[in-house]
Amino acid sequence: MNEMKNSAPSTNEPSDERRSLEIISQMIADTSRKIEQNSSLYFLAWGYTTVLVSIFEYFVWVADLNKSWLWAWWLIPVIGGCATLILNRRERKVGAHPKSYVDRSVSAVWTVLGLSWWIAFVVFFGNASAFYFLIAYTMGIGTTISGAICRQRLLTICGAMSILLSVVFPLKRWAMINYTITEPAVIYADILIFAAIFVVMMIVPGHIYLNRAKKH
Amino acid sequence: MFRELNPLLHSELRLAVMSILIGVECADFVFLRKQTGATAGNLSVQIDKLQRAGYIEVEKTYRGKMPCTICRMTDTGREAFAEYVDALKSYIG
Repeated sequence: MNEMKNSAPSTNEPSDERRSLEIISQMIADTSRKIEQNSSLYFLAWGYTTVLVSIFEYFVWVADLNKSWLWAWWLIPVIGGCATLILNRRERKVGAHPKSYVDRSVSAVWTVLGLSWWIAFVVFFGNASAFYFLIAYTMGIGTTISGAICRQRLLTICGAMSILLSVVFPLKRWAMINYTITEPAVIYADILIFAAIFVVMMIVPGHIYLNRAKKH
Repeated sequence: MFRELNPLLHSELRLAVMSILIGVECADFVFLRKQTGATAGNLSVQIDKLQRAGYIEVEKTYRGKMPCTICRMTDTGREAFAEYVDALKSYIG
């Protein structure tokens, strides 16, 4: 890209045919890379927030701390929402993010999923295990669809892995019913599974995309 | 048989702008300037030429208190770009 900037598109000279093709492919690739880099920051913001809050909540249960700490779950939408607003504002300020059709499709997917979680929250209130499963499962679906729309194989694979991993929740529930388990670390392991799924679904692809964009 | 290349697109900067806009819904002036590495004055002139040809639409608006120019490709522009790429193939292929 730097090479490209130094030499050509900024000139008004007629280009030769090969150079024209080079410009077309380079500009399209750079633009999609820019979009990739911006998306990775959202993934990392939501991924790290969810994982860190989940680990904290796990210790609240295992160490039998004051249960008012459970309100800390709300830090996920609060911190994630603030990070999203900051990233949006930053992009608008530097004009870093062109609006693409892909953005609109992905945004529609996540808006629908986001609204469905509020309904799920009301329906499954008090049934944490079912709620963890539903969130991880639907987020896996959202990530897989996003990957398919963006033609990002890594994202599609990470989303599909998250869908598969979310099956661990009903398996654990089955084990809890059929075996006598009293160890708090195991009883509340749902939260750690939830965190692990977010590592696979958001943190891993987020870092890979960010590094890839930085290298270019 | 070589096909004639559209002279309006056969300029490096205008082609770069069109190549960016073909893949997005819209992009602002700052983004186009950063991606192409062009000076603001030069880019502005080339955008004006593309707009007069009906290849792109330009919307001047404000983002907060800052003026903001948003460009998007028109259907005419999309057709012209597709024809240009087709014509290029006759040279390369």
